[in-house]
Amino acid sequence: MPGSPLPDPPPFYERLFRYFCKDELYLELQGDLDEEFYENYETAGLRHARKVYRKEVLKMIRPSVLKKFQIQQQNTFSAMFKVNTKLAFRNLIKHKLYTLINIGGLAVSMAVCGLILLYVDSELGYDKYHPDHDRVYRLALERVYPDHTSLYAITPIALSKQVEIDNPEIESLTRVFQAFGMTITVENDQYQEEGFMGADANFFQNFGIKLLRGDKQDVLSLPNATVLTESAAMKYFGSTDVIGKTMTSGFGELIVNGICEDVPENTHFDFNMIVPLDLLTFLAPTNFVNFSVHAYLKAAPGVAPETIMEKVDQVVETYAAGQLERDLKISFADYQASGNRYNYFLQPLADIHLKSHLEREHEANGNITYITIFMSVAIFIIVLAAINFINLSTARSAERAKEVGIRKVLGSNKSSLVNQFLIESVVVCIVSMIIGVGLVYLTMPVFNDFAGKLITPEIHQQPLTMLALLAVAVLLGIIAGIYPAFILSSFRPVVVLKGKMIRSKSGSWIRNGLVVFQFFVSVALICCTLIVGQQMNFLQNLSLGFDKEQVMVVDNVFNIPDIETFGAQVEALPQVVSTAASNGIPGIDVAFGMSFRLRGNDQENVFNCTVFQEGFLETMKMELMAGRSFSKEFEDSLSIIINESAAKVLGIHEDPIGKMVTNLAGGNNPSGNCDYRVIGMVKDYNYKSLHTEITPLGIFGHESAFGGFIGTMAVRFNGSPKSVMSSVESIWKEQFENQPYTYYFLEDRLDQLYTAEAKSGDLFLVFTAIAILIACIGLFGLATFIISSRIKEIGVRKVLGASAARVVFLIVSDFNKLIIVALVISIPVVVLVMQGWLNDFAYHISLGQTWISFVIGGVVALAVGWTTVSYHSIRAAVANPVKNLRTE
Amino acid sequence: MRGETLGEFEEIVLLSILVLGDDASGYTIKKELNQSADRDVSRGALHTSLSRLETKGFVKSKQGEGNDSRRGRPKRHYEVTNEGKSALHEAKERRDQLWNRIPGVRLELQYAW
Repeated sequence: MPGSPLPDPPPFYERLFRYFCKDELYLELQGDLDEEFYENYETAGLRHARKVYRKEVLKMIRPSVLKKFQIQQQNTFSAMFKVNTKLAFRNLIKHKLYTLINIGGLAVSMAVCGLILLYVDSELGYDKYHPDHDRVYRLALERVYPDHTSLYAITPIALSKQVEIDNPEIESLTRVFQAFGMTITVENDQYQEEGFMGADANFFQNFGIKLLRGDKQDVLSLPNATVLTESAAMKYFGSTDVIGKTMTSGFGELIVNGICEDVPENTHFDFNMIVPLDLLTFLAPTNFVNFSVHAYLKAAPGVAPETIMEKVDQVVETYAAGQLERDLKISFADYQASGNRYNYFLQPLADIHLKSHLEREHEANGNITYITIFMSVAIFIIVLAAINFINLSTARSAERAKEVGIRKVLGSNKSSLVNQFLIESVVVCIVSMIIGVGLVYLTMPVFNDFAGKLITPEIHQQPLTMLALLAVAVLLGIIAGIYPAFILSSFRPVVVLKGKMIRSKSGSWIRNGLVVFQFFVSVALICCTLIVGQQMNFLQNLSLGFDKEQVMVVDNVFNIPDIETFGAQVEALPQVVSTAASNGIPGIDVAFGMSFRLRGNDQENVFNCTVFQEGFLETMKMELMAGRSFSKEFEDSLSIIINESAAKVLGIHEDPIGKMVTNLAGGNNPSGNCDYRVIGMVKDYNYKSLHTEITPLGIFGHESAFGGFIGTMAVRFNGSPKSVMSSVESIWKEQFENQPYTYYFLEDRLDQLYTAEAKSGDLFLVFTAIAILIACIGLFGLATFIISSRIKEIGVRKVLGASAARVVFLIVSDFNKLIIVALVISIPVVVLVMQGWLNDFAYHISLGQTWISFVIGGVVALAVGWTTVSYHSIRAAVANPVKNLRTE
Repeated sequence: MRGETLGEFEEIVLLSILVLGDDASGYTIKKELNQSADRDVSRGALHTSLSRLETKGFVKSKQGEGNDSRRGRPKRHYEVTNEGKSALHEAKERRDQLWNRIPGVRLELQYAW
């Protein structure tokens, strides 16, 4: 070959082939490989030639080509393997209790790990099924007010549209108006639909929810089209073949234009029916300031989110600033100078479920902290189980010492003994893994129920996962078995066959260390669980600023013609104390935002606002700090009640009554500036989630311009909830037979808001219990060991006159030291971890209050430790000393 | 029959050697199989088959010279023995007999499927 030197075939594969190929075949076969390589090189290039070469070499690994690798050695190895496996099984069957404890503990901990991993996997898998989800972001807003900062998941409807128009780097935009309640009429039957959602026409192109009927492109392009989920279609029509059927909503007649699958569980939003965004006429399409919709932007491939953000800021300055200046009559620069900011940011779609906890999310999201906590619990549990294994195996060294001695005398060398013990522990691990996987399948339905999930383990369909599990089992077996294997195989035959007990200082150091670690983990878990419980309890009993008990809420009083008459009729019921309506129930419904200014002051303040009927304050048992409540005896159309925070922001905290505040024009106040007189100041109550702090609030009366917003009625009652519910229902049915009657009990609904925390707390409790159980198994093993090595000492003590109680005390006090050391180490760790968790809550207990958790945690650990140890120590202590001393 | 039958793969290997004539060596047989029989055969699989054919006595081989593209490594030339040829004929005959015994209608039905 002239010119350039020829390339070589991949050197590693060349050497590999040389290594395994039979010598007599090597030259010819290598020649063939080379010939093909060079021909491929010339016709198809180096890459292809190398690829083919590698494939060919690997395919040469077959019996007719493979060298015979030292047959002799292979045979003894496999024979040893067989014998050892058989011995391992015999040993396991012989010691049934030990095997049960060992395999049981390992299997349970593996099952728990499996469940945790499946749970974590399902939490991490949210929103990953949408096409190009890695390029989709939700636009969110950090709104800085002069006195506080709020984070919103929703943004002005026109803003994101303008961002898309001005920005070629955005491929598409889908805006979604969160699902809400709506009365639906289908052929004279009325239904209450809680999952009525609005979205841009390209919704089904940008989200991975599958359409069963209808075309992705234009299923929402008719102005009054609607798409139903499968279950909604079944609910309304009893069939999914309903294209073209009509239904009536508050926005007029809707035509069913498509059917989609039910929203997959791993989606951060949920709906039952979806309509075009334009149909929701209350969303003024030109609003750049008031937040209303979730906006999902899909960036063009390769575009960084930062690039898009630059454009968003420009849009704010160009469009939002103008609207603000018109409404507030001050310049945008002045507005910003007074401490107002709109900081928009992008959230990756798949991160929303775990990492986003803003105001106005679609639903309560998961929490990445819990994921880390659960993962660490899983790791702890497995480590605990491995430690048990080590403790139990070394604990049995006395029993096995003779076996080791005999084997050594018969010519076994150390490495083959190590092999034997390792194989034994690998067998235990594999058996445990099989049982553990079985347990996962068995407990999955219960777990799903408990955690509110729909997980199906699919291990049996994934050979790769099975292999990985096997590898984990083998690895765990080796890690856990290596220490006992070396300890057991290092016994000196002469010593052990004489019957002397083996006791080494360094060995006890390691074992004690392991027990301390186990107890450290257990105590830490107990304390964390207790602190979580304390915090949940605190939240549930926190003074909300109103009384949530004995309150029933009737929804949808929007639609009834005369709320006052209805209210009076309900109030006339014997079990009802009082009723009053509002635009929304604190803690559950939204308060809307508007700007205010104290007369004679040009400082803008954004308040959340709500509307109360006369008597609502009293019905909810809110506390007035000053002034009076709305009343029929006054003309209250231009009166306002503010909360303490609002009074502080306005600087009229000392004497708020009679002050004039101006409600500035804006998206929610299109009629222009208007002055209100402050007639009362209410004590701060939680009108938002307890995760967020209370911010300024303004309350308008029923007679004010906002009176029309009133839509829910609170009914305070005495006696049984059931009777109230049915009495109110009969009044409702009598008067508005066509309207669906919807109600809930305030206490239940508020508690639901914290189900995410409560559920995680419960899960945590279960895992903790299991971890403690496993730690106890280890302690049990250690107690066996220590007592069996001190059995003569106990005998001698008893002969010399020690009482049984004295002996038990002696042994137990050894363990006390270990547990106390563990307790001391765990305190700072728990404090550090729980501090972070507690800080997630706007209202939380202080760490000082958690001392009781540490006390209880320590006492529980001590009690559990004593119980475990006392079984063995009492047995040894009450035994006849003659028996113990005669064993020589 | 002498108890040594031909597998389907062995049959096409033998046929390929006959097609190649004097030029039949490991690599050329492989190429022939890839091209004419449209099968992606690895050299390893071919080796197994060739050595089995050789023990059955259907092919014989002799070592030949190397060249540059083999970096001087020797080449093995294969040749079909008379036993090999008669085994091929036998296989073909048996197959033809079977084909001839298929009633025409059934064949048509199969094709018309």
